[in-house]
Amino acid sequence: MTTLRRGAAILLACSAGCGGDTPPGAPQPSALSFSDATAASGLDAFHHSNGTPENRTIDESFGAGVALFDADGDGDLDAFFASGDGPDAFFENDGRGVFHDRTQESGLSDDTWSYGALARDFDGDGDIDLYLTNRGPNRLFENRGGSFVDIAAERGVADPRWSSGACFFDYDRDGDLDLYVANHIDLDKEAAATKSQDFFGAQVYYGPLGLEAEPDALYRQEADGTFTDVSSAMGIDAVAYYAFHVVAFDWDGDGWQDLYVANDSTPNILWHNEEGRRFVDVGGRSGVSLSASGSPQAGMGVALGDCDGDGDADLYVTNFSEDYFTLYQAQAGGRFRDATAPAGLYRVTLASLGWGTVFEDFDADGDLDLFVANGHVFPQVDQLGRQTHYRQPNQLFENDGQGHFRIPEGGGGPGLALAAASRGVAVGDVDGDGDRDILVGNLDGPPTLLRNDSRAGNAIVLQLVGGERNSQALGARVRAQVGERVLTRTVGDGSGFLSTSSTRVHLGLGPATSARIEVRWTDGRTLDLGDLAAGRRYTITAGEGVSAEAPLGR
Amino acid sequence: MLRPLHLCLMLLCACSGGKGPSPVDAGAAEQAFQRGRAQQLQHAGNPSNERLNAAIEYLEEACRLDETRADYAYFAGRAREEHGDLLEARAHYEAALALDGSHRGAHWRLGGLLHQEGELEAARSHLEAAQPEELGENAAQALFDLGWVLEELGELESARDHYRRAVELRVGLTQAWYRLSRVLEDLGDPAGARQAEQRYQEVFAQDQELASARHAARSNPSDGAAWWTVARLAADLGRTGEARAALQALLALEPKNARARSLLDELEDER
Repeated sequence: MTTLRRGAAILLACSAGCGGDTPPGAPQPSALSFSDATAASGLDAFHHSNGTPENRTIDESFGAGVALFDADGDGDLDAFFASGDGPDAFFENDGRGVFHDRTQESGLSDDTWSYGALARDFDGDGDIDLYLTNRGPNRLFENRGGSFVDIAAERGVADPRWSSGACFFDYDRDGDLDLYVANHIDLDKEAAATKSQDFFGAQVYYGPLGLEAEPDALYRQEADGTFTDVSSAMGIDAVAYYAFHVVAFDWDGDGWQDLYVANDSTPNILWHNEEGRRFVDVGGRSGVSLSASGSPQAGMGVALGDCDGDGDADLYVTNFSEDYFTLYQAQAGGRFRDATAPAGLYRVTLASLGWGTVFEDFDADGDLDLFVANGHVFPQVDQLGRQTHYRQPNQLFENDGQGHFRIPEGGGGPGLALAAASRGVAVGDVDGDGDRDILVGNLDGPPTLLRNDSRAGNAIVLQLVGGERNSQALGARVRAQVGERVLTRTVGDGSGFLSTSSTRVHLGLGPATSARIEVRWTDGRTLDLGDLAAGRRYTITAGEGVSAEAPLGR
Repeated sequence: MLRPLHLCLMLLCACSGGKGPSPVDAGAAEQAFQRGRAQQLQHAGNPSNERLNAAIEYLEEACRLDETRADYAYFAGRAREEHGDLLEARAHYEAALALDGSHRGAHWRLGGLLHQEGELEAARSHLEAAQPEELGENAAQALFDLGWVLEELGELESARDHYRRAVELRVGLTQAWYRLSRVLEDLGDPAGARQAEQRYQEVFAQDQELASARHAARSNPSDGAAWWTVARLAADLGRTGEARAALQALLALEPKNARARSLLDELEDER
């Protein structure tokens, strides 16, 4: 170690601990901590499989979508794993975070190469169905009392192309859920296997640049529950990029759901929904398609959330290693600003290659923290002596309440020290203790279940029940007034990467014991619920109000 | 502004036992520095990190052997920065400035790193101290860097002026055209924003073409025509350093290539 570096290290050590009492205004010790509960949960019985260990072709480099959803209606979160060329798997939760393999009984098996898992009640019958994106025909598994039947072909959504992300949302405000499918590449796997490209001296798989991108698709749900491909009519197939993930939100507050699509190595898209008549890409104009210096990045996953507490939805997009992941902070007039550096998120992601990402208030202090799943695409990178590696630790960033992030003291607990080729991320209260745990899908290996052990503040959990054909109230907005602070959350925004998180809304209140709650439903109606007490879970039904409540946690 | 850096230096001395700098071995230090610079220069454009790692080792050895040389610390910082070790790079730049408070290169690079950390006022201070116009080949980039910080500080007119000056000096500075278009829109000049956006698109396309040509030349380094394409495109984009390097590669293959010699002379004259 040079004198300079030794000195710097001592300086850092002194600044961390030589000063005695923490001075006023200094950051408080972090409460955020996660432990690895994979083995204890039984989820280590699943092993994701995605082709060759060296990732010979591009289709072997990503996938591992996961879903947390209540498949059997017993109130807890079950787990589904999309597994490339291996068998997909479904695990039932016993209510306390212990899982049992029920793949065979559930009917959730699929012989195509699977990538993403979108769990939504697409038909509004009250149970959760599953849309599976594949390289090959996509599947729509209808939930029939806890067992599932593929009806994709008969409903018109068995898109045969290579699909990645997908999103159910109501674009035409007719009350039912339509479907956007992000498509990736028109891949000739055999031809691709004969090519390679140079990556800092190593020969790695070919693409995506040089391969043909597939356009995305939009399907409108009809009254009879079938879907019509309206991609051309709505302007969606006007461009074709290497799409990865899609989230829906009302970008401009006009009451119509817009879409944000993260694309690999090409500009990201912000589809503005022009009142259900067509979609227009306003990504360039609004500042969310490129980096701050005008370069397309390798958009992978997307987190959506009001990270600075100003009432607008901000976007966080994960990218390739040796580039930064981008925080687009919403400004007035529908524009965004690249706020990565001011938010403290620039340097900390340069060595990472990011995928699934979510904003979530893990310590229930009222602000949204940030989780990122990481892992490189090239196993060969380990031989190059670079800063980045194939298996990477995931990252947790704690929000200081002002939209500025830091790595929590202790790094976020022992669960964050694990290194893997992580991809999908789903969040939900797996063990029923009232906080949000994290399920991570890992490429070519078992998943990681991160149990939330954080010291948490008070919380309210809301389960919204929407209208007749949107039972999960997807797209509804919740506004909570907690003292001076206002929390805004969107139900089922689809944050992550090829995965599905619980649609329950978790509101951290810090020390406050109640919050004033208002719900804005997707049809524009609002419901003022008044003050609700902390420490409870409320079921809020459209047109009715609080229809059930229970204490939070076991 | 520089007081915290001086404090840092004092603490560094204190941390090393309060004995002050170690005895200078100027000859050995200079030898290590020269070796490090040679590795650093040879690394440029090389996808492997082998030479860069060697450069870091030599340059930091030079720093250790002679703690009085700001340029040693500066180039060690550049190597660390290229390697992605940004905290180490920052420490080197701070050390360089503690030794020579007027080191423009160190001010420039430190300003850039502080910007990435969101420390806008400190970044501005260093980038201004760098006197961007005086940074030779790096002037356009440094003007852009300062403009970007000014934009984030809300000084849009000043940011616009810096971006304009940057693209005057280097027409191929893609990011400057991009940010110029954004800032002109914010300033209520939609026509100017459209023009800048159009230039951005053009330059971006040329940039992609250059990247493709660069890839072709590196894949087949004995192809003189490929190096000529790189040189021509880089020169068009104002990337004179890259253009010169490509011409030198071409002339090594074809010493009598007249058009390469002529373009190189032209670029040397501009220098």
